[in-house]
Amino acid sequence: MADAVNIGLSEEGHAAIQMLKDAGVFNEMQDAYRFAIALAIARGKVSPETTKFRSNWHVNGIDKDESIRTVIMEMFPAAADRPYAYAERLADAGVLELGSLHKAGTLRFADLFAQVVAGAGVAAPASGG
Amino acid sequence: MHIKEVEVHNFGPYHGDHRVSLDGGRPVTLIHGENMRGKTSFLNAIRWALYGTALDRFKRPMERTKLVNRDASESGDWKMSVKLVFDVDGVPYELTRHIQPWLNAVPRRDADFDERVYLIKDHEHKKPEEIAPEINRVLPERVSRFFLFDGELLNEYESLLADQDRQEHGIKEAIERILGVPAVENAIADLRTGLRDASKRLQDLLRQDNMANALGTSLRATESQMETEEKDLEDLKRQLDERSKEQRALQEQVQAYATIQKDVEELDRRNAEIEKLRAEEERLHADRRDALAGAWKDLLQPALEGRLRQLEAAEDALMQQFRLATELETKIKMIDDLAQRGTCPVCQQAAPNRDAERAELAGKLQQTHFDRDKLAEVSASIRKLRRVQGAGAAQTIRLIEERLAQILVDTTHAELERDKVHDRVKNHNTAAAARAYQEWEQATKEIGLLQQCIKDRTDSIRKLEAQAEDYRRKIAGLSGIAAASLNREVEIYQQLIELFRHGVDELRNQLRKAVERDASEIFRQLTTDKSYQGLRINESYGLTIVDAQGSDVQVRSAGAEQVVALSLIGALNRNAVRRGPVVMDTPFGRLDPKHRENILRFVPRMADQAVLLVHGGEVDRTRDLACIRDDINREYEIERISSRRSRFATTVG
Repeated sequence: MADAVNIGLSEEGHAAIQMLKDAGVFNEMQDAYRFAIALAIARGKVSPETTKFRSNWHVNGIDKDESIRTVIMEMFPAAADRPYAYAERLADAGVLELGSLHKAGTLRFADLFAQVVAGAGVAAPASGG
Repeated sequence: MHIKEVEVHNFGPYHGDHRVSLDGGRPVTLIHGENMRGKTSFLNAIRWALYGTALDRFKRPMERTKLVNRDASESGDWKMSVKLVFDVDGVPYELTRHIQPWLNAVPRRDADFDERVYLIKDHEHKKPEEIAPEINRVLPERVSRFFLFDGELLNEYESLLADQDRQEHGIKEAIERILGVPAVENAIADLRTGLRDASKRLQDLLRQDNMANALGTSLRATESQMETEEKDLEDLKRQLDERSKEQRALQEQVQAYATIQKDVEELDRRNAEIEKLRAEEERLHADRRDALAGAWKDLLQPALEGRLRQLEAAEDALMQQFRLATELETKIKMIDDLAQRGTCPVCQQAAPNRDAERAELAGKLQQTHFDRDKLAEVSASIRKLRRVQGAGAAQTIRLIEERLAQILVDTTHAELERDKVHDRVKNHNTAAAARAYQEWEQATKEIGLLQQCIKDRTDSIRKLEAQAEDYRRKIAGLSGIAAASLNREVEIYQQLIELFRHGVDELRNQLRKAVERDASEIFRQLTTDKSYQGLRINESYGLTIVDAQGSDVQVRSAGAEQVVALSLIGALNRNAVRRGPVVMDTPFGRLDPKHRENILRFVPRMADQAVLLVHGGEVDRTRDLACIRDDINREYEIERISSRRSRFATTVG
């Protein structure tokens, strides 16, 4: 199957990213989207393959220098044939976590960085799928 | 003046009739009462009977509706009166002030009351128009602050030492009044009137002589100008008095305004601080948003590095295989080359058979499993991942969020402080206080201008006087015997005016010295620090403590202020032209026990009659009063009946 060209989030993911944008946490939703992918990779989280996604962005806009594609292909060999489809699932998992932290009033990016550096939730290269 | 009795009816907390006798052979009467019982109301009753004014704690005149006892007024009885029985130099007086509403309706303002004042002097009723002048002769309202002492004097007294340009004109003037300076000034004014009269008579006489007539015309013109200027001067002095009175009335509000102003400034400062913190917070959020735009790569770094380490390990293993395979291939190639040539290229001998060795090397080469494509693939992956590099956003975001956390703490603290100040400010009538301050500033400015005008006018009158004197001298040279006696009269007036003018300055100096001497002596008795030499007086009768080395003591405690103020009051009473009773409300509030004892010992000698209104925190009856027991006439206790009613109970005497 060909890789995704337009990518997005689940309904809950859309609500969460809208909230993050409205609260002034990120300048653009695309910034939040990319950050969410990184967070999900670091946490080793990914939304289920069965998740229904509503597309919102073209991959060229989200991944201008193809870094996301590279990272996914290199870190998740099993997802190498459809990296953007996998990125969508990662972004959804990451956005839901960011939304949940923001709602609880505990979203501190410095803490996220510290946890990731300390190895908390750092993902081992997954098989994707 | 000696007050024998005070009778109050429905005044303040005193419902119905109450009588307090202050008569007896001893100088001190003590009235004990805890806060809110009616000590200040008693002082106000005496003030109201004398002058028709009672003052609130800000020294503002109180409305009549607020003076009448609440229980009485609520039952429809709005009649209120105070009667003072006193004598002055053995002459008996009875003064009664009485108010009641004009109509049966509930009074709402002062004008709704009919006020009647009765004065019986030496068993004869005085006419209504004679009463106020008589009272002012006995105990002038303008010096009453030295007799009816309620702490107000302390604030005013402290202003004596303040900036001369801004200090209150009233208290210095009141001090000079109690010391009798205006009497001499009035004498000068009377002599001037006499001089003008004699001079006019002289001019009428000289009209027949042409030369004398010409000089007389000039003299008349000069004197007319002088008269106009003297009237102006009187008018200016009257205006100065009025403005000073207004300024005094505003003084308390101005002090309140200073406090409010401080709070308002604090509020502005806090608001500015909060605004600044919020602006910084907003800027930091924007900075964080900018940093977050590229931060995903930084967040990925630990995971990427983990993956890179794996790939690098794989690349190392492949490189090792590559090096081993290359080495085996080289060796096999050398064997093959030698076999093909048949001789050794170095020693030219026949080459040995190395087939077995080659077969072994070929076997090893086969076992290396080196995969060139795989190595190229791994190396490419490493290169690609290395290109995904963060920009150090993590550090930037950490610093931003640390500062944001600090800003949250600072903003919360500033908001709490701001709310506290805001609560204080909202309880004040800021606009009224600001208005009062502006009015006070305006009055102060006008007082300065009026004082300057008075000085200018006085100088101008002196010049005109010199000019008039010159004309008179010339006229005297021209005139005959008929005018000689009038000339002599004019001269005598002139000399007397000069004498009195000189005398008034001399009197001021002597009085100041006398006040300084007596205040110093009293101060040495009152103070517990015996190393002080005494007090030094300034032009405005402000007193400075002088230490053992003769230097001024710059910083004084509130207690020391009170001791100095009481020393001044004692000295003024000794030097006053009129002596009166001293009624002191809560006079020991700021004092320690030793100073309290010293002052209690001094009170009987301070005035012929002293009434002390004290609470239990100031004076302990069993402990503190032993030292003046023989000087106490009577002691009363103001007893609380209810929150609206109090009564006097005799405890001693």
